[in-house]
Amino acid sequence: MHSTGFLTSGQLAVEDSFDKLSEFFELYYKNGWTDGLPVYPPTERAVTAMLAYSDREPSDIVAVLPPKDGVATVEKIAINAVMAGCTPEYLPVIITAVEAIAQPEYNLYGRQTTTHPGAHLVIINGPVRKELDVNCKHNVFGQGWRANATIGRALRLILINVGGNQPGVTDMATHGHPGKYSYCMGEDEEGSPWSPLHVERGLSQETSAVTLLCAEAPHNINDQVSKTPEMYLESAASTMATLGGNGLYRSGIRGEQALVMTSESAHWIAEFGWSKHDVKTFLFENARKSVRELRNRGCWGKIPLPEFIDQGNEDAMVPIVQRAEDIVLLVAGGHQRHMNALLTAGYSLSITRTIALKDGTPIRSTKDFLG
Amino acid sequence: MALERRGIPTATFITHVFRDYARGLCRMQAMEALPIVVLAHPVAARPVAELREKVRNTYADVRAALTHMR
Repeated sequence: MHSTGFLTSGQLAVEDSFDKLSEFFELYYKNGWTDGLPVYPPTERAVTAMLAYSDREPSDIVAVLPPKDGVATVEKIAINAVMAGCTPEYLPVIITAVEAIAQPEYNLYGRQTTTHPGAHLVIINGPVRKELDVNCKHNVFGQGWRANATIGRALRLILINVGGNQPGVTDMATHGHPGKYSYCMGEDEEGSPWSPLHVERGLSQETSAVTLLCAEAPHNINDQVSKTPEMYLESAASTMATLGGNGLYRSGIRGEQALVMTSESAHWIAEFGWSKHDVKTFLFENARKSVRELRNRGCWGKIPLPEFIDQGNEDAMVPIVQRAEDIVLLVAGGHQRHMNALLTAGYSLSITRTIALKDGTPIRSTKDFLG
Repeated sequence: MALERRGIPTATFITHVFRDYARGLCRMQAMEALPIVVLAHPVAARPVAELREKVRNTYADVRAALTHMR
């Protein structure tokens, strides 16, 4: 290995030939530098092109990532973004995602090493969704969109190559879930009757932002026939408050649970006069199980119940979060009345960060980095 | 790890299937000497008598962990 002037990472000399690509893939796989899928060669030219979309120096430190406490420089992030198949325009989103995931409230050390199947969902808000063609609608958690497929993947590769994530070695997930390859969505802001996530969190509609939420795999909720928001959201509440879920046993500490619904469903509920807060409050009050059902199963006894629950009352109804505001409600997806529950371990809080220039100025476009 | 860094002796319990994982994390955190006490896996939802026996087998390791001069 050697390094050259502009970039400081070690470099491997490989034959520049399509015929040798399989050898390149094998080398990277055997070294544990991939997620198991082929990666794009992070050539000096490709990494340099990626770095054009940052106004920071390649050696600038974005975050230190546990458990290895690896140093995520702009250059290391760019290398992994190239490997994931990102276009250079995606780099600002990925850098912002790394900043977010390293915030203490996110508890990355725990999330990287736990047996729980949490994956890091990258939620993209603001104008950058359109600019980068981030899927917010049909098949939002599925295949087909380069941005969704590769931005989440880049973050996973960074956690592997910088943070030291290794299944069965440091990542002790009992089962994991497919979102650990890539987990990225945009919010369907134009299709929502309510404020999008980043606006709820104090940013302007015109600000582009990234939110990181450590979540289990999406769990579908199919309710085609309910005639009132109450009936419809009871289906969601039932799915969100299952006996095996962490939330019911973790609501004594602050955590979050999320629900994704389509534009169609959100507008239908809004037509009844319901605000986003009304939906959250309904889910908070109805996504519950009784102490009788919870006692001595699941994760009973590991965390004290919320203070407002009388543990001696078998009929007391235990919520999945401490407060209605801790339900994260997102609008995304195609047509029809499906919803998806994104349940969490309850040991992590989602983090929203503005996509910004080095001086903190929010970007209007990724082109802002080109000067 | 945080307690040990403050000079407070600890004994960290782990079941044997997580031993390599625990050692790996200690290496990554530059805390190779962190005293780890290994219990036989599994411990979740096992009969009390079995658990007592598993814990009894660790007494010497716990004592060594807490009294070892660092």
